[in-house]
Amino acid sequence: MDDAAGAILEVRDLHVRFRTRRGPVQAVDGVNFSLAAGEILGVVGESGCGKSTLCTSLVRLLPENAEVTGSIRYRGEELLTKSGAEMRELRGREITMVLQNPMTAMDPLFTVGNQLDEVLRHNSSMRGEERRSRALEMLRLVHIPSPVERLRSYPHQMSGGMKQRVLTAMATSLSPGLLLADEPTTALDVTIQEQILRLLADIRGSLGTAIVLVTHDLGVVRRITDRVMIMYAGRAVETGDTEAIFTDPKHPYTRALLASIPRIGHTGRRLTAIDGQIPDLADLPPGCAFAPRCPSAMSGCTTAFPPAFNTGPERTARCWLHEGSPA
Amino acid sequence: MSDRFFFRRWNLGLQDSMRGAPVLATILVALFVGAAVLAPWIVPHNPADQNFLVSLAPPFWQEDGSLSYPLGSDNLGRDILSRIIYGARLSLIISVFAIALAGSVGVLLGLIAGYVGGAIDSLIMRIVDAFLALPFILMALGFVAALGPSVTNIIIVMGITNWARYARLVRGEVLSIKSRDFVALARVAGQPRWRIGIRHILPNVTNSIIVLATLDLGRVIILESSLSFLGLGVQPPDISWGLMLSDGRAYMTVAWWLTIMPGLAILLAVLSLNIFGDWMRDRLDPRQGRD
Amino acid sequence: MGFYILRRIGQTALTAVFVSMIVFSLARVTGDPTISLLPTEATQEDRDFFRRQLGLDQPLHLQYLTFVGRVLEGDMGKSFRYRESALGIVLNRLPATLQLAAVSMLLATIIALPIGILAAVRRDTWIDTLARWFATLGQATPTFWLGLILILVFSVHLGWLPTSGRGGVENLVLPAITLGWFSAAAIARLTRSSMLEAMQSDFVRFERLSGLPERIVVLKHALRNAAIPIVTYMALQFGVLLSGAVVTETVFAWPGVGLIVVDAINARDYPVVQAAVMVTAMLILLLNLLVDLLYSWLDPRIRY
Repeated sequence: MDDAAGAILEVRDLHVRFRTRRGPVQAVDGVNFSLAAGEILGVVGESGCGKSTLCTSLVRLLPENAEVTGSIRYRGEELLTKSGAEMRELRGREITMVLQNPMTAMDPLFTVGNQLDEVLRHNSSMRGEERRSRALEMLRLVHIPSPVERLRSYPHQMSGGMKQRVLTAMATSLSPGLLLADEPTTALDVTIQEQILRLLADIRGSLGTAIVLVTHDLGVVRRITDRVMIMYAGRAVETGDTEAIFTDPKHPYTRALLASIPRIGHTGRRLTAIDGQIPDLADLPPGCAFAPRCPSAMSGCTTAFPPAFNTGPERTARCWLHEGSPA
Repeated sequence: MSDRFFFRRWNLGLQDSMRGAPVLATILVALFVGAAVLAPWIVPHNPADQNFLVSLAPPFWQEDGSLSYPLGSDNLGRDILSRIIYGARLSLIISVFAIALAGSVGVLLGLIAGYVGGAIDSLIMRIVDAFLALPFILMALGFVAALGPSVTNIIIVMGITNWARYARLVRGEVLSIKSRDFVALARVAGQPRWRIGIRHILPNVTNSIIVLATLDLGRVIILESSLSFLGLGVQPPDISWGLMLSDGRAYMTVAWWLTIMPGLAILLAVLSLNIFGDWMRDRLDPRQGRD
Repeated sequence: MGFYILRRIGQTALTAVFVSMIVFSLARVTGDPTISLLPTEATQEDRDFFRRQLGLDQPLHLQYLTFVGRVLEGDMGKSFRYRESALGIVLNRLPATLQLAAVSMLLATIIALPIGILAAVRRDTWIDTLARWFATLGQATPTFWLGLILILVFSVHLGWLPTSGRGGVENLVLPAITLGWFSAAAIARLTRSSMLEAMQSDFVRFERLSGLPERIVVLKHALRNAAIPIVTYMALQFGVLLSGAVVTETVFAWPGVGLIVVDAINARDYPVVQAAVMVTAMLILLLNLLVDLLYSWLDPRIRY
């Protein structure tokens, strides 16, 4: 796609391969995308499609048996060649992350204040008083009631939703350019999910932080993302503007996903089953991995995986159905 | 889970069930058990035979050593190798019976505590705490001294002093299994409590018990040899590694092999049993993986 | 918090009652003391008189109550041999045993913690392999054998250290290594596995994501979380040390409780054996209680 000057994150031909006892596992296979400052990108797919791996690879915190190739440029700088120390500089300051389960994401033995302070101390040159007021300010920003008392609380004294808000505060306390949110609402109650999503949208608005939102909840995606990337078996099968994709999906997998959303009611918009098995990343079929489950599969689908065809302005789909469009 | 392992073992044969086993440790365990079982037929000498002409003979690789006394001889000219083989026999007998005793008592009380719950549970668990708090070797010493040091008494004492860990383990397992569906189903189906306990819960805790028992073998072997070393365990003319060590101690400076050889036998037996037990734990009961 | 402490103290008291029952039964299974204490030519009347004197004609539960009453007054009977308070004899020897156990524990901790932590941080490297061998080997070594080998090498061949007795630091080195060896291995093993578990937790991942230095993540957060099982285990190991001191004290002729117990057993001096078991058991119980209270300081989740 375009190498827009405004892009804060530029991922090109990213591959992640794990060496395991069962042989190599290609968890991310040739993913391309870019993200402008303040933009929210939704990364969607069934579990095991490589979306969490993709997220973790961006901050270079994959386990040692992972091989990452390709290019990840953040504000024009290549991340894959940075040293461990340089990456640590970026983490917590420029690129931060919110995890799926807030219940276990904080050290149970230290107070909230202590942990917030630690992040500020190791990532900035703020002094004690300054850090404290910054911490309070952040707690207020994420709508934590009586923040002064909260600083003295231990994690187990807070609800899951409140913890996730505190964690979001920790992750955004230094106005990072990029926030990676790995299924931040999955472990929470439906009512709390809404609050967290609104919070993420607020943060984008007030801090100008770009967000990569990993989720399998299409309702969430439609509500707050600007663009979407649909992943299947480690590959980005369709990317484009959120509204465009929701109104006119081009890839059969995207269509199947959208069809699986219950039409009535606003809650429970989780992916329900699509016929067939989720593919095993250690043992992928040749050609398009979705072909065995695809209603429109053609004979060529099982021999070669298609390149990304343009299917509209800033839209691509990796499906032979769109072969006519220029790649 | 437990039955799956055993069925697989018998159905697909030994080769499959032993896949990934630590080779050296398994060979040593087999050697240890083999020596213990076959002792009377494989010893080069009668372990009690004294021969003053060859007293304090060094191991064969040393000058003056000979292959007829491969690991040397003691002050009375008895063959060390033969005595170590017989020592393995008694070690294995004592530890297996002691663990069987400790295991049965512990499993029974653990089943009762976990299954019945309430006041009986807390009562049994406090007794378990009491036994775990007792200074283990001191108490064993006290009981052996009181009952008299015979092999049977040593087994009884080790049983008395070791059951508590089994009770605690089984109780914990029962509590976690009790909440699972199939037990509830059996209950709804109107099976009596004791029957649910035996038919459904016991088979499920077997794995954990087997693992604990294997890892305990080494511990009990060391305990037995400690008692014997202190003169309060196996008594002559019975042969025990600990006893050999304590006899050999006086000759430590002139005949090191009297001390080194039996100690090495204990070390290798316990080491291989522990490594083998660790492997079994990883295989049978991954949850117990942490100490 | 207050409730938790009270409950733990109550549990400990109940456990102590059971310990006293076990020690009491130890006294009863030793058989009829009149046989070992009275000369063989004593008449039946002599024996009956003596039994009444010792209260052995009373029903068992009354005997037990008398026993407990005396124990609470600090009376665990008189040593048959020395005609002094059995408890006094044991308490006299206790400092020597405590000293040995404490130094062994310190030594074990100093060795085991760094090994365990390093093995976890450098998982699956040669450091880890070495550490695991150290732990496996250490847990399979018979204490008395290790003691004898150390004497053989450092006292007999090299002549660096004395073989026995209590005195200066040089007397303490070999016994402390001998006694602490097993515990060092056991603690190293547990430290490694607890650290591995802590380092796989979500909060460690989040802290790394938040750009905290690895030093802080490992040594402050992971270690503090791993410390909870380690501290309990160390208390347990201290109990093992107190009890295992019997063997080490015998090998090195260290004049502690263990040495006197072996002595007393050989002389059938049961009151001393009982007193030793009782005192050691109570120490271990107390230690366990202290550790549980320490817990509530280490882990805020328990402070309810």
